[in-house]
Amino acid sequence: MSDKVLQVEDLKVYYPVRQGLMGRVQYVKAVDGVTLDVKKGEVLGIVGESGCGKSTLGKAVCRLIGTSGGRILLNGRNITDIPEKELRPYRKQIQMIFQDPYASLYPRMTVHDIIAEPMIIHKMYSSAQEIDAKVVELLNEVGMDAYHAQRYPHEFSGGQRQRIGIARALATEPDLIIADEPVSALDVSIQSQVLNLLSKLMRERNLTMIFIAHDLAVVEHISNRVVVMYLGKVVETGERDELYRSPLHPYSKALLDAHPIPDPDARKERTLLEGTIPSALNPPPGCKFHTRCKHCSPICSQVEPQPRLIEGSHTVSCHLFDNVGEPA
Amino acid sequence: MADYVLEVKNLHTYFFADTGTVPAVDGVDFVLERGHTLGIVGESGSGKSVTSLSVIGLLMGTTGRVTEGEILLDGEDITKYSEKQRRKLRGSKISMIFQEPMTSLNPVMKIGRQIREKILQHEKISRSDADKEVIRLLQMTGLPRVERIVNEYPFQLSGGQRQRVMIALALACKPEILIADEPTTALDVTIQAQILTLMEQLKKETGTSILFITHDFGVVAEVCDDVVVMYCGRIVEKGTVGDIFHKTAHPYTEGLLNSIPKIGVRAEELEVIPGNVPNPKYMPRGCKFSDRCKYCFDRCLEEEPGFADLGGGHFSRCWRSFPDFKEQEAE
Repeated sequence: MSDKVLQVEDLKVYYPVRQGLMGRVQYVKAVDGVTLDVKKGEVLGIVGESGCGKSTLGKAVCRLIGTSGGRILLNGRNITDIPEKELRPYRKQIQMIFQDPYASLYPRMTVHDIIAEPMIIHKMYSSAQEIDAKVVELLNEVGMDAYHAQRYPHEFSGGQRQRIGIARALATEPDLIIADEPVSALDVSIQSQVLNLLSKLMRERNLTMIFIAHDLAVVEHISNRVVVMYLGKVVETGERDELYRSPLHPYSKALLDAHPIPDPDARKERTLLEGTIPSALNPPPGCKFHTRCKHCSPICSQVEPQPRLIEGSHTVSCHLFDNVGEPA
Repeated sequence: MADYVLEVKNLHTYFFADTGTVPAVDGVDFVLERGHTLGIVGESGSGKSVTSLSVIGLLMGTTGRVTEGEILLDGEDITKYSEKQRRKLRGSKISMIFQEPMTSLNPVMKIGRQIREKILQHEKISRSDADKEVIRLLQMTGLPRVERIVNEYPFQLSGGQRQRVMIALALACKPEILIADEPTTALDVTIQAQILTLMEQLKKETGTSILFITHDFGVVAEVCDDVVVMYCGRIVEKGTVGDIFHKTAHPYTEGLLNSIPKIGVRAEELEVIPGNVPNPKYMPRGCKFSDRCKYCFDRCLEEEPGFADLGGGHFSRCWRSFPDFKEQEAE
């Protein structure tokens, strides 16, 4: 039995779009052949700019949206084609934390009901007393008090709401948590509180998590391993330290270079990335990044680079490394 | 003597709601030196955006108004101006860029016409000259295929391109002051880097002074010359960018700087500022930050400190910053 909680193999998620009334159907390839795995007890960070497919990937793994190809294996079991009706036991194993704590909590349910609902649905406890006790325990664990249970979401600040969202995600004791931009809607001082809470929970509960974010510093802080995505593709993956210290893909380098450093003495001339991310409806052929890459050579616009293993688990998909390492 | 394009003195902007009065800006003083970029940093509810709206005079239609204080533009107090006079200033002498370019551009008006409209409003030139100026401004912002963009609508452009259009629009009529309210918050990092570089370059070319509102200390470190840190409608610390980052005096600034994760710096835990920004109706009695401050002592709870002058234009609103403060006092 492997220690991999999640394996994603060549996953594709295409959204159909019709241009005009009679236009033909085209596909936005939001996720286009992504392969990754998550080991037990690890935090896998996924970074990329808007439109790179990171949120779609998170939702597809939860089976919140349909897939167009590839497989999702949860604890070794293929859940890609399980019909909706039989999904419930797997839903218990994967839970999600959302970006906007103002939109993700139902306003007419008390905090108690929000946190208790998953436990009731999955018939985890036999008596109401047990559930009440568990709700209080979860609230305490995320740094809130028992009396908060009887209140409604609107009575809380953004940071507190995100804590409630985390408590709800923990309620089913999931094997995998998918956190989609969990701190990007929060103020700086509150962001660090929630990040520390997540770190504490990871340690104490040995949680496994996919952490999706656009902020490189936040991802570096919380993740063990990092995946960089661009236009629906994984361009680079590696251990956190390896990837941040020696990024290989020109896009990863550009992302790190563009991140503003909070130190006025570190001001520098940047190597600016030109242009914007191309439309996913009409992605460039070959390497998806070649239109913005300063190392672009003729092969880049013709042949799509395959991932190559450089060192340890550091993998990169770029023609610059065609003669380095081995195919991954 | 330093050349100040904008001086804000003892500014109070209050909102009069049915449920009570909210002092969003409560006694704010700062100066913007000509050709400089002044950053106003703070979290939501700190009053940074209301400060900028007071300066440009866009509080009409809200329950808020400037109740006290002066806003001196080139030495003249514009709070005394009539709405008609203010309107003349807006766009020609003071311009503003907002966070969300899509909601600040008119979605049913072609880009070229939106910019031309502003030029014709403020300058006495012919339509064809105005059109030439529109092309020049758009080219200045590094937009591609400008001749076609003037005939396009905002929805046809990407977020970064729209923000470039906003910048072109703001810089039309050569304003003395450009207020940028979180101009890159809605953009991706690589696009943010492009826009920040563009603003820096245009500042050099046009000599415009910039009031830069943001919550991101990374961006502050990149673009600002001077910084004002706001908390609960007050300035808690101000100084040069070097002062704020390297000689940090106020516990709130210190807490904010320490709570952001930094690339390449490994920490098991991030430092946190405990608690939340207080509700304006239940403000702490003494120092506004006292209930979240790790250095708080008796005096902080009773009496609000004024500014301690740390020299070279560096000020901190904290009892611990005063020269006569002794550590024993706090024990």
